[in-house]
Amino acid sequence: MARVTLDSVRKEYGDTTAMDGVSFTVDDGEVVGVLGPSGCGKTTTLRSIAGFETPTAGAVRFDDADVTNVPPENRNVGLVFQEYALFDNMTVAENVAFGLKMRGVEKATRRERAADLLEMLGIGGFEDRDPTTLSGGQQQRVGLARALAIEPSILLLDEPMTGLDAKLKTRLQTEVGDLLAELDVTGLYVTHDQEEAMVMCDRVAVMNDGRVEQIGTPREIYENPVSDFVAEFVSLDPPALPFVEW
Amino acid sequence: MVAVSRRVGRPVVTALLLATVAFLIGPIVLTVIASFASSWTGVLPSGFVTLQNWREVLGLAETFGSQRSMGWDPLVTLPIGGGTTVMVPAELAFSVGLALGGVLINLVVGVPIAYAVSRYDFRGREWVNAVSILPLVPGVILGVAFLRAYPELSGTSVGLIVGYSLLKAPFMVMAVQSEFESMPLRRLEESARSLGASWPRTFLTVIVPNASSGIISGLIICWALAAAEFNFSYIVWAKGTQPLALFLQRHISNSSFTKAAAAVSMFFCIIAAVTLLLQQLGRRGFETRGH
Amino acid sequence: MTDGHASTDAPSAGRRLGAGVADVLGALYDPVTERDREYRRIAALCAPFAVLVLLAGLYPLAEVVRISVSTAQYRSLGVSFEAYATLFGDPYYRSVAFNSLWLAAGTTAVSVALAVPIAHALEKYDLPGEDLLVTLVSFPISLPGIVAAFMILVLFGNNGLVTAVVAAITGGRPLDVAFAVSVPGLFVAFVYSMVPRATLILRGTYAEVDEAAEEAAQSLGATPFETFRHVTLPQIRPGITGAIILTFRTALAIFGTLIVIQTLVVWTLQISRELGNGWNIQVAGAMATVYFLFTFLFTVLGLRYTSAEVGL
Repeated sequence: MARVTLDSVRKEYGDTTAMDGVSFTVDDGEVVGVLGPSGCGKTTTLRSIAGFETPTAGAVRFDDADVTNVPPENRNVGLVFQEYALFDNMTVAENVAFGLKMRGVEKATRRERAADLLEMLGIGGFEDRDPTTLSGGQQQRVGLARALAIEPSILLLDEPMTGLDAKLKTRLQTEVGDLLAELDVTGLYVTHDQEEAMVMCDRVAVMNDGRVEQIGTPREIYENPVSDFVAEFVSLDPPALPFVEW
Repeated sequence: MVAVSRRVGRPVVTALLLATVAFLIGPIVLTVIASFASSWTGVLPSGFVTLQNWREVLGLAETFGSQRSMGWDPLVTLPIGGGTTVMVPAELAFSVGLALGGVLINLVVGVPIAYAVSRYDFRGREWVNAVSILPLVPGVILGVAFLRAYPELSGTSVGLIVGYSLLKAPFMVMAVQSEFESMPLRRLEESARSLGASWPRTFLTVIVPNASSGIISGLIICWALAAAEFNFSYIVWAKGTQPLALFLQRHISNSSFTKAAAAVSMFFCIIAAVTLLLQQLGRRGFETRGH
Repeated sequence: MTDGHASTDAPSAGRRLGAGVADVLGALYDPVTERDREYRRIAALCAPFAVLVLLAGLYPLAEVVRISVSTAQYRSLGVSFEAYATLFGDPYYRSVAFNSLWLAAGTTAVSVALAVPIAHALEKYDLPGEDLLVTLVSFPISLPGIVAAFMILVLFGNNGLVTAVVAAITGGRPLDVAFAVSVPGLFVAFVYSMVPRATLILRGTYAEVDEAAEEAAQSLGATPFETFRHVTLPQIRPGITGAIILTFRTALAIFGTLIVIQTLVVWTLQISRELGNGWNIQVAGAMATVYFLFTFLFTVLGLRYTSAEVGL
């Protein structure tokens, strides 16, 4: 795990500015939520850390190393998507062990480690299953195990709970939240769901229009919003937020 | 009027469909039946059941020897394992090989460009897409162009293989593209790369295996179309073993009706057999994965 | 080949274009950002196809265009438009062009007109054995033109089934009834090759039709025909235009069928004859050039001005 710093990151696509001078630090072992409406730049922020977008200006640092121009495959980041993106041509165990295979870990060790992770995530014994035969919640756990297997510098979660039903979501929030805390994972959790961010994250950054409006603990943000936008966005009353995709 | 549309519309459209199917498939069935008849001069073929037409077309019958001696190609002997061999007309073996060569080129050129168009956004993407899925020129024109540009090469196996691959490439690209479009390409690629796989490795070990069913169906389509390619072959072919389509045309134009029927039926069998074979390979590949 | 398109803005200033190209080449050679690396990947993915198109397509075609204006028979020398003068001046070639165009247009009209109800039945009706019907309608796509011609001989030739049945019923002689080796026979043979292709394209279009709108129309009291006319047809119109463009191209390219049923001289057959009768490569090259330009312009204009959708 590592401390990840964004230093005045700016990202432009032609005439549009997706990130307009974003700076914050995710400390070692901390999970930071990035919260905001669609189009606020939160996904671009995640992709800049992963390396899929190179900032137009500014720098991305892992601990003290500048990784701004390092390609994603050399950054050691874990990535969890909303739609899982499991490799259907491999078994569950092969999915989880894929990153270790890329690092040249030998087969027996890979398999053992995959089994341990699956056990820890409550889906032990699924090693030889075809991922397409699993339920949505099970697939999401495989996706999480796959990202954790490489012991990433930072775990990036891109709306991982969206699309799951409410009951499962609540259960996974608690489980995954506890797990991330227990493993001392450094994480960035992108979501448009303020409740999820409050439950899962140590600190929350509220973004709007390519800028970070406020960053702080959930309590600070909820009790002392610095702007009307933040106040409105973190209020737990959905009808007040017509521009959020519900 | 309202009642008429509701009452007759559907039966009429269904009848039209069935009539078209009969028009398309009827002669195929009739051809296969006629290939087992000794003559066809009345309303229906007669003199069942004889294998003589098939034996002659496949070059197994004596009478064929005289035709062979008139410049037709000899048989080739293919080992089929276990020490047994099978004799097949040289044209057949030749075309199978040519089409396989063409398909290999299609694999190498078609899958990457289909991925580029499906996965990435770039200026000129629409044009690249159009160029890759629209046939550039028909076989006749390409044949003339080959004769002019590569006079030495055009009639050889290499010339035929390269020509086939260009003519059939759009079908490969379309088949693979439709598979790619049903896959979450960006997320698959990004997941694999975040796990440490280089981009080429991601493409070869994650993207391509995940798209295998589309790739295999593209290969089947291209193989069948290349094996049957006539127009280009007719223009560029000069001497030596004939491609299968020219062999068929020779029978259609010169042989008795029932023998031509046998030749055409043999072609139907090849198309059907190869389709089954490749599907089988695809399924086995699917079942054995992960062990 | 894509990269020039992909990364240069389209300004008229040549200098900016030059600078853009230099940037792209720099990015390809030594990529710094992820976007640079992406350009390099796109270039690498398109390269094999580009090489094939260049070596097997564009270079040979360029050679053909060159020889069509050559003054020598076997070598590309000088510039002479004699072949084109022959092509546009000789009434024979005009009649060949006319044959090609009306045959292709007529068979396209018939094929697409048949393919619309067929695709409609296959996609909209819940027919028993639907998968089998789809397979049967698609099977002839893999048959070359010579086999399509043979199929017509089997039905309407001197020994053909339909010929024999009609002759038996009317009491006429089979040779008088048979029409496979005639212009109508050729027409039917073209339709045999083209209906399955047109159906394939239109089935793709039908798969994207909004069924909710159709059901809404039905529930408002529209008859099936009115629903088709006012709801379905507007949605499939781009697909129909696309099918017409592609089917027309297919029809112009047909050649094998004409070798078996030689009753009408069309453009492709004439090209082959130019080579057969004394290697008249200048005229053959000129015909190939005209053909290429015609289909290219026809396709580009068709796609540009009709909102046609091409693709399967």
